Formats: sequence, C-alpha cells, structure tokens
Amino acid sequence: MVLTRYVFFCLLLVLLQACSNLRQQSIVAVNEGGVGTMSASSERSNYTPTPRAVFELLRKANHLAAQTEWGAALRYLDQAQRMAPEEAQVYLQYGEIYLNQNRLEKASAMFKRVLTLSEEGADENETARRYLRQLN
Amino acid sequence: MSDRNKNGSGKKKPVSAGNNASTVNQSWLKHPLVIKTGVVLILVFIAWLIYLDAQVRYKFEGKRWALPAQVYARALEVYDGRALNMDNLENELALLNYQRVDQPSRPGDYSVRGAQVELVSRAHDLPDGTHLSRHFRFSIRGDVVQNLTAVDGQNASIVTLEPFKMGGIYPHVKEERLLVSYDELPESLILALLVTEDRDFFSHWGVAPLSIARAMVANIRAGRVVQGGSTLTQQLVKNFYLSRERSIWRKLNEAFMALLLEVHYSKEAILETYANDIFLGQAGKTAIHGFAMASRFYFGKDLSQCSVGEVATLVAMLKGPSYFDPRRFPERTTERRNLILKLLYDVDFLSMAELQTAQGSPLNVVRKPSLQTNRYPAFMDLVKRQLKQEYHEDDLRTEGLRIYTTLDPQVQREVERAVKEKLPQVSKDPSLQAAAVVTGVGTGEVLAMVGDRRTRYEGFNRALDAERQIGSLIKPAVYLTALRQPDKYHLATPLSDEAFRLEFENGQSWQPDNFDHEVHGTLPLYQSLAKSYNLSTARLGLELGVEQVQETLRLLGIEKPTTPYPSLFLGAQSLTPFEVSKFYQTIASNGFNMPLRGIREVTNAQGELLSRYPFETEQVIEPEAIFLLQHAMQEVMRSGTGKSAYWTLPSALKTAGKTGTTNDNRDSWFAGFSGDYLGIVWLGKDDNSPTTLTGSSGALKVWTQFISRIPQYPIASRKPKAVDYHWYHETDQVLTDERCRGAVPLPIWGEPAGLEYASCRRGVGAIKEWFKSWF
Repeated sequence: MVLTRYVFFCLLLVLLQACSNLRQQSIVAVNEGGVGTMSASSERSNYTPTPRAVFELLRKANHLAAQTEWGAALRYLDQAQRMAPEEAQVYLQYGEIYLNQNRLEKASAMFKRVLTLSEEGADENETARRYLRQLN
Repeated sequence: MSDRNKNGSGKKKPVSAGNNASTVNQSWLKHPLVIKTGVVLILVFIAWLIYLDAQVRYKFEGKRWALPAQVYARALEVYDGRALNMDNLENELALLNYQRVDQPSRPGDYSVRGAQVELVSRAHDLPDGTHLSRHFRFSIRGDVVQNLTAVDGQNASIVTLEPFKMGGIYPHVKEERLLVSYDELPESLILALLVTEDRDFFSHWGVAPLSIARAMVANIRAGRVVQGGSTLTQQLVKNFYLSRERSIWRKLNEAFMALLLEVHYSKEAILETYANDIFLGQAGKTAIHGFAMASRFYFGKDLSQCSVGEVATLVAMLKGPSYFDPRRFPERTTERRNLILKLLYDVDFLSMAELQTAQGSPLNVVRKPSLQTNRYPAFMDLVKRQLKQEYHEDDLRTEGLRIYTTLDPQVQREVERAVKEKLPQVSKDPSLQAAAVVTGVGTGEVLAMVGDRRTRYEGFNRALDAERQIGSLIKPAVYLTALRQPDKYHLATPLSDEAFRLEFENGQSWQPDNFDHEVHGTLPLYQSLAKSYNLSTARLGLELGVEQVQETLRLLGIEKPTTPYPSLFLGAQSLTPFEVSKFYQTIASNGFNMPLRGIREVTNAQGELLSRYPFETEQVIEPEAIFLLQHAMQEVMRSGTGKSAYWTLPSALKTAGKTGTTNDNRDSWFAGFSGDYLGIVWLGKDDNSPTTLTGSSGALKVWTQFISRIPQYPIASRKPKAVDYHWYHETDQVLTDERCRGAVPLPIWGEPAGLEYASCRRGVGAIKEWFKSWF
C-alpha cells in the first residue's frame, strides 16, 4: 500500500515537471517570435507580413528611378513604406534614390534602417553596409 | 420782325403755322442747354458702361470664387495582407455613401456574403493620378484581406477607394463648391438647361427681347408670374454680380452687363461659370453652389456619373432649391423632374423607352452628408497649424486647395468611441476631460486625434495645447539612459528601492516616495520599470545625472527645455499629449526619430502637386538599447501596471506601454504601442484638481478599448546581433540554466556584468522550489 502511494506520488512529480517544461518552452517561443508573428486576435491566420502588392510597388519605383523620375519613384516608395514599414527593401530603394540625388544624409539614414530590419548576410543588409562604407 | 424773315428782295417771306411749329422744335433741340444736357447724359452713359464693363471683366477674369480648401482623410487601400475587419470596412463604405446591394454593378455598389466582399469603386483623382472605377472581390478572414481579384480581369494587387472628405477650410462666407470645366458638363445637363431656362442661349446676345415679350404675355394671361424672360446670361449676372433686389435700376444693370459679358466671353465660358455658380441648396450654414457639388451632396457621386434622371433633378431645383428639395419634397421634385425629362424627349434627346424608364426611376438621393467643418476638429486643428507654416491664411480659405491627410477614419472612430464610452465608466465627474493621439509606429503618420471628451467640439484642443505633468510616463527615458551604457547597466541590474532624502545646498530637500508608500528592497531594473517604483527610479536617475536624462529626452524628440532637477526622473515635466507622442514614437520605432505628420500631399484646385510631406527618419538611439527598453515595457503589460489591458486584449497581441499618474491623481496617462499603432491617452481636469484615477484605472482603459477594436500586428522587433538571451531567475536574481523553474529569458546587450550564476536546484531544493511555486 505504501509502495503504491510512493509510486503514484513519483508519477505525479514527473507529470508536473513535464508540464512545467512545456510552460518554459512557450515563454521562449513567445519572447523570441521574430518578424512575421501574427496576432491571434479574432482568428487571424499566420499571413506573410509583407504583402505582394508592396513588391509590385517596389518594381514600379525601381523602373521610374531607372528613368530618373525620382519624384514619381519616391511616391511609390512612400506608399510601399506605409503598407510595409518593416520591409528592408523599401528603405534600400529610398537610400539608392537619395544617393543618386546626392542627398547623402537621408541616404545614410535609410541604409541604417535597412540594417535594423534585415539579417546580417542577407542581400539587402550587405548592400546597405557597402553603401554606408562608401558614405563614410 | 427780325431780318431773318426777309427774302433777298426785302419782301417778307410768308410764315405758315406749320412752319412755326417745326421751327420751334428744331430751335428747342438746338437749344444750348438741351445740347449740353444731351452730351452730359451720353458721357454719363458711356462712363456707366465703362464702369459696368470693368466690373464684368474684373470678376470674371480674376478669382471668381473664394474656394474653400478640401480636406481629405487617407484613401483606403485594399490589398492582400491588409489588416481590416468587416465592421471597419462597412463603416468606411458608409462614410463614402456606398450602397449595399445584392449584385454590385454600378460605381458605389457593394455586397457582403459571409466573408466575401464584392465592390465597384468610384473613379476619382488623387495626387498620384486618376484612379478608374474598379469592380473587384476579396475576402476578409482573421481580420486580414485575402484573395483580392478583379472581376474585370485586370490586375488588382491594390485597389484604392476615393478618400473621405472630412471637412474644409472655409472663407468667411460659407460656400461649398466643386469646379468643373465646360467639357466636363454632361450633355444632358447642358440640354436640360437650355430647354428649361433659355432655348436661344447660343444665338442671343445676352438679352432676348422676344423671350421677355413672350414671358410678359404669358404672365399677363395667367395673372401671375409663370414664366421668366431672363436668359442664362442674365441669371448669371444677377447671381454673380448683383443682388436680388427687384428694381428697374438693377434690371437695367443686369441687361447691359449681360450684353457686355457676351461681348467679351464665349458662350461656353458663360455656361461653365453659370454651372459652377448656381445655388442649389443649403446644408446648415453652408451653401451648396454648382452642379458638381450638388451631385455629390444629393447623389453622393460625381456629376459625370449622374444618370439623366439625376441631372434632370438638379435642373429641376433651379426653380427653387428649397421648394424642390428632393429630400424634403420628393413628390413635387419628381413631378418637376419628369417635366424636364419630357422636354428632353421633345427635343429628341431621349427615346420614349428612355423617357419612361427615367420617369419611373426613384430620385436616388443619398443620406444627407455632413458638411460641417468640425467633424474631426482636433485633427483639423493639427492640419491647419501644419499648413500655416507654408501657406497664407487667405490662400488656405480661398484657393480651393486639396489637402490629403493621414487621418484614418476607422482609427478615429474607435478612439472617439472609446473616449465617449469609457469616461462615464471610469468616473461620474462630468468635468473630467480627455485627449488622445494615435500614430502609425512605422510611419510617423498621425492617424487619429481627440482634444475634448466632446469629440466634435471645436474649442480648446488638449491634444496639442494642454501642457500637463507627465509623471511616470517619463521613466522609460530614465531607464533608456541607463541601458545605453551596457558596460554598467542591463535589464537585470539590481536597483535599490529604499527610501532616501536628498538635501540641496539651498536648504531645500527632496524625499520621493512610492505610490504604495512601501519600499521593495533590491530588484532587477526591468521590474522596477514594470512596477513603476519611484524610489529605485530616482536612485537610478541620480546615478545617471539630470543632464544625461535630459539629453535622452532631446534625442527622443523633446525640443523644449526640460526640468533641470532630479524631480525630472519622476515626471515633474509638463508636456502635451502630442509631445508625448513624439518621444514615444522614437521608442516604438526602434530608436528611429520620425517627424509626426498629419498631411501627405497638397494640390491646387486643378490637382497639380504643390507640397509633398514624405517619410523621413533618422536613427538617434542604438537599436540594442531600444530593444532592451521595449522588452521592459512589454513586462509592464505582462506583469506590471499595464497588465489589466490583457483582461480585454488577446494574449498573443504583444504590446508595450507605460502608465503615468501624477501627484494627487491630477493626471492619468497611458502610452502604449503594438506593432502598428502607438496610442497616447490623457485624462484629467482643466482646473488641475485631483481625480480618482491612476494611469491604470483611467487612461489605460480608454487605450485598451480602442486598441482592442482595430485589427493590427503585434510587436515583432528584430533582435540585434549584439543582444543575447540569458536565463535569469527572477526570485534569486541570478543567471541560471535553461528551463530552470522560475527562470525567464532576458535579453542582455554585451556581458551580463555583476550577475552571478547559479545552477538549477536539484533534489530536496528542487522539491522545495516546486512546493513554493504552488503559492
């Protein structure tokens, strides 16, 4: 009888320990959720945070910039920036346009923003670093 | 007898009676006085004509009207991935006078079936160009737009609706008017005007004597005025230049001015001016002028989109906009409209089938739009202040500028609702006031603003002008100053929350106290911020120095002088809610300063771009320090003074914030942000008397309500490379192992200086820990 109670007690301890570990894992998951973590409010799904429409705007801006239509290009970038303020490529293009316009301070500010929004080693991150080295 | 009566022979010439009369007449006309009078009259007449001519040309060629500036909210952009819920969408469509129907087919129609939306947008102009009408579908699932597709087969990655006109900046005479050129006038409108008002418009010279005679005969026969003889040109002269005074003198002026108008200007120019000037209704104190404005006001659409029946309704109103008001008197208006449609049929503009269809159709008037200028008075105030930096007041009121702002009508609506609903709940005191500012975290755009608990009240704007002590709201600046020094401070740096007294050289002293009048021993830095303890914060501030904290505030965007005393650490500093937004904006946007702006673009009345206010940013604080601060501010919401927000908010919506309460509860503040929105809320009394509210029991509740009702993304800041997570035991305040009971992951920049390490407890110690965790 005593042995049974002891075994039961040990099993209970093991079960509680396992539950505690699960709780720790969930804290880690929540705290280290990177870009792209969606709110679960109102049954929202995990959707990619940068809409494809933004990339279309970036293409248009790039095309206009290639034709030195800076004003029109910047307008598309403003729209893309509103739609996806965390998308590094938006700021990379801003920076490149400002560089072409010789607005170096603004360009530098945009490239710095790229660094905070992209992983080291990513294309836009490397490009921004290269531009910043040139500006310095 | 004079010599003039003798002939050459000297005989008298016979003089008859008739000869005597004509001689007298001729001599009368040749009388010097008569001649002089005639010359003077002719000169006066010429001078009068010259004067009239000058009047006609001056006004016609100069600024014809004082056009108010049109102020627009942001245009809603629909694209896959956009955060949007059905309630907000339908509210936006209601503002734009979209009609819910079963099968959308015309611009302005939409349908909703479950999660599926189908919509036909209206064509409109924006500073980036003309947006054509689009027919498209999309669904809304989980508060996100998905599967946007065009029904017309064209590319539909983004569809932009026309922006809601939220108000105007008016001249002292309140008139609403939208200008159209002659080419933009529908053919049906021109024809309806001619057949109703002036059939011979294109052939007369401004005055039509035959029409006048015809009208006189008709009026005499009827015994009353049943027909007017004035041409469109005369009507324009009467409305544009003269008064409604009924006198011969005015009629004479009118006739000659009409002639002069016709001499100088083309028929098209005259008709265009008439179409833009004509009075067509009243909306409160604001007069509706011109067909283009009237079509928006009555039918909620552009003039170009009006049907022939709607055009006929507008022309029907010329006889008397009040008498033939389609909203108040639909029957008589319909009767007059049908008469005009019949006239159009008589001139072969309509077929019999078209006539019958048009006469059988309803008037189609929309709900009366609000044209009040103070729909969002606090935000309009911000817009005006920003514009006055570049434009003269007179130009703002009269040049017809189009101002495209950043206001989000849905966010504004939820903020207003939260203020109206929560204030009576948190306090029965009717003198309690409120102010709120909401900005976009990543954009710096001002999305909503409230300056009074009566949200439509146009008076003192507390959001921009109420300078109030901010209390604990300042503490993030103190802790940020520390966290910028990673060799000395990190989130787990132990702080002493013990009482102290500071003596100054001038004999004064300072003895801060905690809100609960308790002391809390030694605790980690982040918990000190989360619990908003004053003693530990003041001690930390004294270690850092007042000047260092002032410098941090300056970097964060506070330009005005700050309190140069240690009381600064506990918020003895007055700021307006808008100024608080500036400094929290830098925190929310990961250390990047971005000017807050309420305007995107300004164009002239023709749509040409005058000013653009682009996105600007500058990194002012190290991202590592901001990342740590944001973690601590999230702790405020998880376990600190802001945790009651999660009685309402979903747990997965990560937010960060800070409560603020000043001495005697005179001010209740909350500043909080998600991944998308930063909201600042202040509650208090104008006479600065105490309330019963803390930041948690007052402002936080208002913030929580509006944040909970707007779809948005949680905070998801990217961890800087120089920051690593360490397992930290909250109770023992040591570093420990992963998954140790009681341990939490804590981000630290650089090395965790001054922290000991202790391994997880095993055996009896672990069991004791386990028992402790149950209590």
